[in-house]
Amino acid sequence: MVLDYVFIAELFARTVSHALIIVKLLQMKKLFITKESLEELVKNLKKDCDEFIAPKKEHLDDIVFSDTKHSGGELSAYEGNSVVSPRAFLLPQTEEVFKIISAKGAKFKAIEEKTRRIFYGVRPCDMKAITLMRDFFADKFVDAFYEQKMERSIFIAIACASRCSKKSFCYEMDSGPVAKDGFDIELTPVKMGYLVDIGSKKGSKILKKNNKLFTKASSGAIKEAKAILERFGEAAKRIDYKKLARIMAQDKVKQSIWDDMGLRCVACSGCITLCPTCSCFSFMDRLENDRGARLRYCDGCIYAGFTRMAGGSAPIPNHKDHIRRFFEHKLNIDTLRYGRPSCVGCARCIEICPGNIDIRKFIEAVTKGAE
Amino acid sequence: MIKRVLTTCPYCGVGCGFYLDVRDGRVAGVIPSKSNTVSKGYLCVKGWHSHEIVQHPDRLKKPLIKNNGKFKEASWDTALDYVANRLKDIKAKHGSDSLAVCASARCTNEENFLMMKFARAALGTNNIDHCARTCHAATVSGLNQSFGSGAGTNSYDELPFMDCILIIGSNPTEAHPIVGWRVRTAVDNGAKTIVCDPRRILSAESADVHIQHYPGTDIALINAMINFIIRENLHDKEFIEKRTEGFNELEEAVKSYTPESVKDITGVKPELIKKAARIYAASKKSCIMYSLGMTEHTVGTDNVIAMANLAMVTGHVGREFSGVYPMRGQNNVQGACDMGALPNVYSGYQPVADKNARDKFEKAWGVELPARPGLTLTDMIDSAIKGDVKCFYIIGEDQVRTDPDTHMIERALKSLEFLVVQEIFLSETAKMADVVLPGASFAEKEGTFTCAERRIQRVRRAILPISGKTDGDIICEISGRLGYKMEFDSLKVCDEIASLTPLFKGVSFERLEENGLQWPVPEHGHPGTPVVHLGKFTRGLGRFIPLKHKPPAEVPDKEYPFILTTGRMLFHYNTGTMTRRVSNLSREYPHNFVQINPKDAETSGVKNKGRVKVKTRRGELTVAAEVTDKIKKGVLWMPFHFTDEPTNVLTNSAFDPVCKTGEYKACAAKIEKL
Repeated sequence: MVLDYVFIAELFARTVSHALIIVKLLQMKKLFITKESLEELVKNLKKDCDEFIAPKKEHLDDIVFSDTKHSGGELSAYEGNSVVSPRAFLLPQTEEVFKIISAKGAKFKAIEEKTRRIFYGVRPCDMKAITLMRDFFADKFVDAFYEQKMERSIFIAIACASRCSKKSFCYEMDSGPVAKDGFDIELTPVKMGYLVDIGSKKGSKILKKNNKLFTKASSGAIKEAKAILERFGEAAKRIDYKKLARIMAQDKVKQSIWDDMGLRCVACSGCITLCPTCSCFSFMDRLENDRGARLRYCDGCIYAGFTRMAGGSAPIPNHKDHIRRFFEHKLNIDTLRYGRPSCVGCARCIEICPGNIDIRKFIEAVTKGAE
Repeated sequence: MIKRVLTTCPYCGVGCGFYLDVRDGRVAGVIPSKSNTVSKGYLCVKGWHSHEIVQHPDRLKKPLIKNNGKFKEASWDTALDYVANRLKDIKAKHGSDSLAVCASARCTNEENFLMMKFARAALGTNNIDHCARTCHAATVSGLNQSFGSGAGTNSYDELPFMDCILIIGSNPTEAHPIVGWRVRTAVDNGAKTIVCDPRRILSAESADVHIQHYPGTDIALINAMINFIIRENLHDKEFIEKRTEGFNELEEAVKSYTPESVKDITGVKPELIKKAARIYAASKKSCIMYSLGMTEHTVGTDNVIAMANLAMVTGHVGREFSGVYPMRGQNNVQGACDMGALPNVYSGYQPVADKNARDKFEKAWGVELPARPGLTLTDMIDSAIKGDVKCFYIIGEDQVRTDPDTHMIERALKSLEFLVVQEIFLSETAKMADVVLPGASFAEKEGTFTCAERRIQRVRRAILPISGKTDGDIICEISGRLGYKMEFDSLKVCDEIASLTPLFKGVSFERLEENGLQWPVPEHGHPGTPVVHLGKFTRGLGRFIPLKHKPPAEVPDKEYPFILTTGRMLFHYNTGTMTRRVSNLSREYPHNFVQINPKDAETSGVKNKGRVKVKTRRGELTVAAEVTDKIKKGVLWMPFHFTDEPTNVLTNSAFDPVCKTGEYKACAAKIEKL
């Protein structure tokens, strides 16, 4: 509701000619958009951005976030989730951060990222991940490369009517089926269209510009959405992440669990590449003679070399402890540091692990084993 | 601009599918394809980083011509004219068979077809071979004798449902990680695994039986298993009766190989051999997975036949959820074999010596073709030293670093009159060339790769060739200059292959679009063949071939007391030309090393991470020691990925007499503490 107030407050600040609209909007708690109007909205939004990042069906059943501004083909309503999360755009696998004009002469040229992106169809788990990543990239130390992308991004979330995969556990991690935070607009699918929530000034601007496309939500639609969302959480239990973190912090996880993980992990790096909250990176220079670029690339805990010191000494020498760092960071350290875990239950790491390591089963085993 | 290009991984022979994530012309990352039948969204660490090498600044961009020992950049026209003229001269002076072509398991099927067409039709020689010679030539020759077809028998997707997987001389989680995932899943589903390897590899940690035998004692081991299986009446009499021939000879031959009698040869307790034999034979759904640990021996072909014998004795072949899985090492080594980049066959293994096959190709290509089979890679090296072969045209292979006994290879290449190397990076072999032609990476071409389960899959172009030409373009342009025009549109070449090759008759780009096809595809509209030898072997009856254990060409003695064996590791690929240019991969293992058992380390005074000199009769190398109980006592293990610390100066070039594969996996060595 706080978000509604922001939106309303902004509207109040506008000219008197908007008075009628304001009165109208004050009367409604929720907005509604039909499927046809949503298509219209998408068309309008595409005009106001450089890249319209939306889920798109690639080969067969692959759903991947792609730029559909010109190509079209975005899935306005869809089941499942994209193979990659919006992180792939905010912290890409590799990105040039500045050009090296002369390495010897120490001459560089900044690269300014000016692309205006609209992320459409972002799932609540990924939306939450973006809010969590801000704690890392824009809290005390602001990461300019990340932040200039965030500033120019608009997020339109779509709530989930059903689980995206058998392995996902967003509800259990309190990050689904609806986004609570971080979005500019959120759509909740019902039979006739979508309920609309506005989450920010950017969102209310869009609403204002396209106000003809929205109507007041009927109580029937609201009830319907409520029922869908309730059904989503049926038979599911929220994970007691504080208890989990406590057990891990006290090093009470059975050694056999870590040993087994060591026998499974083949250091593919899939988990840290697809995790929507992984934030580790390194830099490399790509030089041809004296010219080139500095690149930032995704890096992380599963590599032995990640924390190896100059001279070869490794504080964490054993293979099984490298993948452990992933679990410790997500579920233990970040809960201590930020008061919440850095896992949103999207299940991407489970679905691509060649060792069949399952973070959900890990959580179950740890919390159960300790009781 | 964002572009997503679905393609096939350029590393090992598993054949995983992913999208290249192209942003404003820069290949920025990799996105796995969950819909890909082979990889289902899983990738290994090499695959996840395969974008990094595509636009690496070290890529060769312009042709190089050597003048007074130094390379100078040249225009394409100058370089191609020069190469064509030299080839013409040598051919005129010394005849067609003084030329030799080394095709590439890294290139597409279409390009390999063009290479073999170029060698045979334009140069007029059957001297064409490729790196299968140094890896799975034994598979082709061995399985062909036993079953009548030299490729893997079953499909990856059967693996998770096996009851027993026998892994021998193969390291699935490191060398073929996405097949390794299926092995892991099988274990999670309750399958039993038997790992036969001198090292305690990751799969051995979760295995029911780990047989740590000495390198080069596989036939003794397998014969003993067969012996025990027959003795315990665990063999499949009905299968043997109906589907095979030669069982009596086999039974006779294995009589002297009891688990007890091979104890000293193999260094394995008889109980372990019996346990393994019992599990493999008694399980309903059993298969064998093997790799270069079996083929890279002087008895490579026999090793492969031994496994075929074992599979047939127990009836674990010729039906679903069974079979023999040769894990191929390179993205398209299966395809390069299939395309006839071999000295004795055209595409689809049609013999050059067969007049009907030759007539067909002569008619299609409008030239007279040589009838005598050409030289294998191993023989080419010999002939170069002798002076019979004057010119090598090498595409995408680094013999100086990959072939055994480096010093001999260097001698061979130096003996040549003319050496052309087509490469994407300046490899050690390329450095020795007279002309270097810059080829294209997988991300720059259209075509197909064939993976170890015989699945032909599409490779698609993400960016234009960095050098301006693909490998196919280059071959065609040289061929044209030699007066023989060849079509290079990969789609049309694919159609040409289908029209001339019964195995691929039903293959076309259109039909490969969805998820590829597993050959044989004998008709248009044929769905492909997931399991071969169903109901009947390709050769009719499966043939038992009795075998005897033969020790490696070089065995430990007083002077060289260790067995040195070599292999591949997870983070690197072959000579490291690609993986050592990927930041994270190179960082994991930046240097070469040698694994030694703690007991041996103690007697040799070797310390963990200490510098040691490894010596063999062919060379020596200084590396760091890794003291680990993962390796059997008496055995040393080294990877071969480090071009600046090249392990193959040590290995033995003694080869299998049938398939001519070198013995990388066993030679005598000593170690000295520095």
